[in-house]
Amino acid sequence: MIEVSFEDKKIEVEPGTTLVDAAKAAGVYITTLCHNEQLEPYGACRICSVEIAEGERRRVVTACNYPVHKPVTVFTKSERTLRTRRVILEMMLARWPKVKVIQNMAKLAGVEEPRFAHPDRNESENACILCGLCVRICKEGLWHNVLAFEGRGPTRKVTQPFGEISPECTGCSACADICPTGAITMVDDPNHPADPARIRKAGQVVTREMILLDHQQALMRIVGTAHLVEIMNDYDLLPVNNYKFGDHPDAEKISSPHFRKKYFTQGVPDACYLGCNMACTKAVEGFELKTGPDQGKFVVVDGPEYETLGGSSNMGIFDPEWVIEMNYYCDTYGIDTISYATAMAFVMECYEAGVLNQERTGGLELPFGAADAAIEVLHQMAEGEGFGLTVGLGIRRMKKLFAEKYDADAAFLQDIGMEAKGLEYSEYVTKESLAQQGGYGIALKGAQHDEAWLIFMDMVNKQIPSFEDKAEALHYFPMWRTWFGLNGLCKLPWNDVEPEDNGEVDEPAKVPKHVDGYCNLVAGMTGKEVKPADLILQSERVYNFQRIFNLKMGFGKREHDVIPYRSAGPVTEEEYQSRAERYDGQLKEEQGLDPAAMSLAEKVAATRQWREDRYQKLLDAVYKRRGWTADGIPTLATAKRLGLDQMEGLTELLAAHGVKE
Amino acid sequence: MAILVNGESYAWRQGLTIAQLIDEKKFSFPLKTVFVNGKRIPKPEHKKTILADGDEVQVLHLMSGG
Repeated sequence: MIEVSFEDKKIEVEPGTTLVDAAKAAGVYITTLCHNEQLEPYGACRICSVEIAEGERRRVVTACNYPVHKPVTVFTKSERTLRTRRVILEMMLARWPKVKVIQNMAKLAGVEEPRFAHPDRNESENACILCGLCVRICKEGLWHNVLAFEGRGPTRKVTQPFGEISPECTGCSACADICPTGAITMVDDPNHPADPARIRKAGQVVTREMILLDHQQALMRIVGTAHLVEIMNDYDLLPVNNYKFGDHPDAEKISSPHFRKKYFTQGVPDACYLGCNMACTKAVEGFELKTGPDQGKFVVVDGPEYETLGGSSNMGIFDPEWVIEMNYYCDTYGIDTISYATAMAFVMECYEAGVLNQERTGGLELPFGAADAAIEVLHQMAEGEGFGLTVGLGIRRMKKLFAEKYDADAAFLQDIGMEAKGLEYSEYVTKESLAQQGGYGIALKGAQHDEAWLIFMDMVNKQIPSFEDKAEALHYFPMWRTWFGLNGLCKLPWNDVEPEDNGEVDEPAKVPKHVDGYCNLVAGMTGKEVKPADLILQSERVYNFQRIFNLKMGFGKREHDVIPYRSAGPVTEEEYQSRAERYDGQLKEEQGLDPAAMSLAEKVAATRQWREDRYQKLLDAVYKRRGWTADGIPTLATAKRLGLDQMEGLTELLAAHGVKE
Repeated sequence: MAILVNGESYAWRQGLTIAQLIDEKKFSFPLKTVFVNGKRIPKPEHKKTILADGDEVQVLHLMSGG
């Protein structure tokens, strides 16, 4: 630490801290104009000039970009400091006499009339003062880089390339928002929102958080969702070998630091939405394909994201270049990386369990980790030939097929076949989070985590211990997340960057300040004021409509909310033994049993009974909270409350399933 | 000689800091806030904050995820 002294205060700072930041930390005011905490120090306006003493030497420096490397005394009010600032302000006032921000600073510095006359005097109140904030926020903050300075000296001005409006400009409004003089104004959106300024203001909150906080939070701009690999591995949540285990010593090989160092190249805004500076899409460029129809070609691969990497560990494959190849071909063939990986993990366990063999796979050896064979199956799936045709059926149909054709144990296949309602699970181990088991099992479109990701709240924070607590979370979060779908919005800016003080609010998991921001978006667009509860109600209507639609199509009851036991607990003795201390402890503490007096098979069975019973109790609590019957069907009263009773045939449909009130 | 960490008992030792506890528990997720006996402890203080026997520590992971 290095000491920085001001006239009447002292502070110790890390080496490299700028004088402006040191002053701020010490509570000392230094006037700035072109400086902004979101941006790299620039030193254009020189308003922040201060006299300093380092040892015997005294001189004037710009505080915004002067890094502290040895003890320094800063004179913010010395005659030399004030004289320097006055001269700078006199020159600015001579050129831009009507600009408010300059007038105010000049007044504070005691400058009334400049002694100079400027040949390019600009009488506008909103003149551009060439501070460069707009150019820098566009480049550094948004990565768009469509604004630049043109010319030098008196001809210098802010412009877009060739003086024309760039098609790359997304109208994100960051430049207008940061401009201190109002020189840049926005032309209102042709969609005619009720209050465009309110929308822009709500957007700028997240833009600012991304610039200031992302590098300490989720690193979404740097590595995208890939950062979750190492985190999931640390928390025993990264699926390994068809969700048997939650970590692996080789996980580092497919972790985000490895991809950042060796593979990821994309540092530009995404194509998904150019105005978003979360820009979480990453890419691998110049990748030479080793297999398939494009073998030998150098390609750009969009990803890999977390689910693709987690899918690879789930197959027991920890080769980063294999993941990139799989990612490319899934994208090219139009195959979902999650369903492919989870289906392959199931196939690999079937192979190791003897349900499948080389004769049944067309000669392919497919134990966990069989990377070459796994990519061959992917090509076969796309071609619609060989064993790929079987895997392409998905887990639900494979379970039936293997039981019928190979006389495999249907109950075992149900236990290890990670699908619900026919959709393959995404890549998280849920054994220690009952709420997340419900998140997957009750989800309307099958086992995906888009409705609820409650693992940290439940398993790590222990914030929702009772069935009622979990049910409340399984009411609020699925409704909230459904709201993004209703509005065509991405949910990542909601909770993959968070306000600095989010940990101090009452319900941090909801990120309440961001929920308020979405209310502002709705109000700014429609002109109608809404509260967070109104947004939840919008979703509740749609969510219950979808549940009723599922019911009509034969998927909307308790029997359809079943989950494979692998997602709730250890199916095999190998799995139990891999986390024996945890499971033995639960037998003792949760069930009052003595694991020392039980055989391994008895322990596996008792654990299963307890966990399956808890899942049923969870369903009871969730259905009750949502206003559904014990069979998981919305009651007539719920349908009426949500205005769904006007649907033609609804009363008859519910009555046909025994629901009359 | 124990502290409570997110409601579960954890062995306490003389001189145990918040930063050491987070490291030992492998709480590597960056988006989290730490409370000791209900009081928020800012991140820069984790290395120098020594926990006392019987302290209740809440390491609140903030991401709702996915």
